[in-house]
Amino acid sequence: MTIRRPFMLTSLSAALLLAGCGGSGSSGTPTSQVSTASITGTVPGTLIEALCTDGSYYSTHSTDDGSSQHPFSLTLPAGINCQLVMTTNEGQTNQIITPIRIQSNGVTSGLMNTTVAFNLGYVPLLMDRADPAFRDTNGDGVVDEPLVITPDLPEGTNLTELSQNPLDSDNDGIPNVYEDDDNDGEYNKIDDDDDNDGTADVDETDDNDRDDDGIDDRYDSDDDNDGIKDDEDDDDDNDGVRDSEDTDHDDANDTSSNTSTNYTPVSAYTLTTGRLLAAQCAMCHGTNGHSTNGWDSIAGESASETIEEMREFQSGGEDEPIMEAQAHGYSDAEIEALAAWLATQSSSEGED
Amino acid sequence: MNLSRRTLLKAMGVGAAALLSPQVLRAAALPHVVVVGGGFAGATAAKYLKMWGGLGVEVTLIEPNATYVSPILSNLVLNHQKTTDDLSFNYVNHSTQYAVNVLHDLVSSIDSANQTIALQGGSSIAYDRLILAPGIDFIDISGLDSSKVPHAWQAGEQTNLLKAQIDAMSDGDHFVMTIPAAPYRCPPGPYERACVVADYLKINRRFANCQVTVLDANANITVETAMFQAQFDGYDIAYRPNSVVQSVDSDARSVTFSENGGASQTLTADTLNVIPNQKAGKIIFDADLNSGNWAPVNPLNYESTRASNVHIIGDSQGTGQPKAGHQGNSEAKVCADGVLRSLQGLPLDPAPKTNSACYSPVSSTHATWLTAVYEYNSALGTMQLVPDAGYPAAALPSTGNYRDMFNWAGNLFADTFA
Repeated sequence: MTIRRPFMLTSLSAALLLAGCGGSGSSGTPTSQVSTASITGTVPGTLIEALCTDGSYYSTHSTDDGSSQHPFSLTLPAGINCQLVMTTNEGQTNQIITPIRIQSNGVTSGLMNTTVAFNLGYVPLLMDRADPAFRDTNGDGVVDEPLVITPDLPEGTNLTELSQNPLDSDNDGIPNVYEDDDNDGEYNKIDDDDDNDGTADVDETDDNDRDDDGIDDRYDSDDDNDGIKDDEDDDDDNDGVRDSEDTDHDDANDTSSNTSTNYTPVSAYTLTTGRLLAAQCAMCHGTNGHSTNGWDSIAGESASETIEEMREFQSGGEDEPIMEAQAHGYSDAEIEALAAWLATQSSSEGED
Repeated sequence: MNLSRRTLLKAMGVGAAALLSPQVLRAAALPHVVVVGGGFAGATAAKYLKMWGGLGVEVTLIEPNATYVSPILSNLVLNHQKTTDDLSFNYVNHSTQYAVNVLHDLVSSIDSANQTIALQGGSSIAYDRLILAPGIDFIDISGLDSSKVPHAWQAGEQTNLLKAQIDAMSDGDHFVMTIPAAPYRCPPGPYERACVVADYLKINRRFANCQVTVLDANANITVETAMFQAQFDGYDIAYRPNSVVQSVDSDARSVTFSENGGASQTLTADTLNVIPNQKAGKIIFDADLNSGNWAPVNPLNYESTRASNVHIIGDSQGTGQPKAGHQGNSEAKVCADGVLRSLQGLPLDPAPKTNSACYSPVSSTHATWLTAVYEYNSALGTMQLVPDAGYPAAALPSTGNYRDMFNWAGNLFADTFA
């Protein structure tokens, strides 16, 4: 059941100003990092978080301006789907975490993207766990149902209801980070052992999503959801060990480029003949040359090695008739181009 | 231990998510590429668009089903070497690893002038580039009810229906299958099926008196002719070329056909497998993107010659390249690269190559393969076999090829869905 009690709740409420950064490819800047500092005084603050489908994380706190409706502003990347979560009484025993769903023009979704600044208006968050409207079956402080709000969305703002929402695998409106997968009363974000198997999350060898946000680390632009993009973060997994000295998970050194992901931004899309040709090897040898089975991986071989092998195949010198057949399909120049590209790929499957 | 909501729904499978009615409202922020159809061609296109285009492009994949069952290897379900579960894939990796927006819905119409598509769920989506990969549709045959006489040429329920009918056969029963006129999906597939079923009935189940008849609309075995003919001889399969299906009695499991242009004759089977003639997916015809049965495209980027910014890949496209999953995956990469280049105003790759490879089981222990590389002929604007390379090339059945078949399929599946 959806909690809708806009006027019976007093104390804290908020106005959300979402400023987009459209234009020439500049992405949003996180306004702050996750803060664990508790709010002092008698008026608790509200933490506003945005989890985005590129894996990035943004957060801010509302400002106590003395009124009952504390304003806040959060800058999000333009055009990327994000889910909002709001926390009242942060860090206190009465903490309430409320994922937000937005309803507009007949669409209800937790995922929103915008290219323009707009005002969400008043968000009627619950303030007290004793409130009869508060429903929290597993006692983890996260409401059972997201709060649905109905702001007027301006042109340039979109609600996206996906069949498969990576941030919310079961589409119940509660993002993965605020689910409690092992039902131990700690939601995944703070639970160091999400599956209760005795191995800390950070040491799980099969965990490709260290911040539990639903975005695989291969694509996640902020692996630890600390608000610092991996290409600026010197400790991608927040384990206190700098990336350059961390043997388990982190990128070796990522101060200059985003090494968590293997994509080329389209704004820098380059003419790489070799890549398209090499992609035609992937059906048999795996994406980017990384085979998933007994057949050869071809990533990371030196160009001269690949060229020599292809010539051997062409001459029938290797006893591999299907490769002999395939090798006849490519010119010397094409073989050199695909070999040069494959040589740029790491021979192991990324950082794991 | 109680299951949390997330774990419970995970255990229930992705179907839970599909119950929701997805809707999208959007305005252009990033270039938006919409891919329709999540088979080998469409799923590969969506993945590679994000792998190569990254945060600079938004990609939405629209596919009605949460689970895709691969037709590749599905003949091995008929002889109990695989199950359809073994061949099932979903789009979770597209969503979580590549940030593709995944929608389980059907496209009801395309407005290529305004660059929008309407979904059956009711919403409309704007696109900058549209990639259609709807696979095949069947040409009607009088009296054919595929829920009684399966084609099993799209995998899943149809595969299991045919399997159940074969399972119910006893010694002395007659298996009859019909092969469509070329071009059809997976050129070696029907001949492969005849061999696998004959092997299963006669060798595995020791039904020495079972009869297998193949009615082929084509004048001869269309690929690997000598090899398949030798297999047919070995299994004592009755192969009848130039046999054109005229009608089917789905309850009686009988097929009426003309052989070599002669008078109609009728054959009654215990298990009847009618694979109808094929054409491009329905959406291609609805959007008036066809010429004849298929969709004409520019092979440099698979853009329709009948509508700008609409691309067609996989079995529906009409370049003359084989209609098969491996080939669809190959075309998808050329298309994805071409779309990303055009979004940047860059020239297309003037000489893309594609390739086709197909391992075909002929029993529960032996397989063959067939492979070819295609190149662009700039004078004709078409794809052609690389000349003087001996294409297509093929291999005789062996147990080594049977083992290799699973490496081939495994990496192809992963390149498409993982």
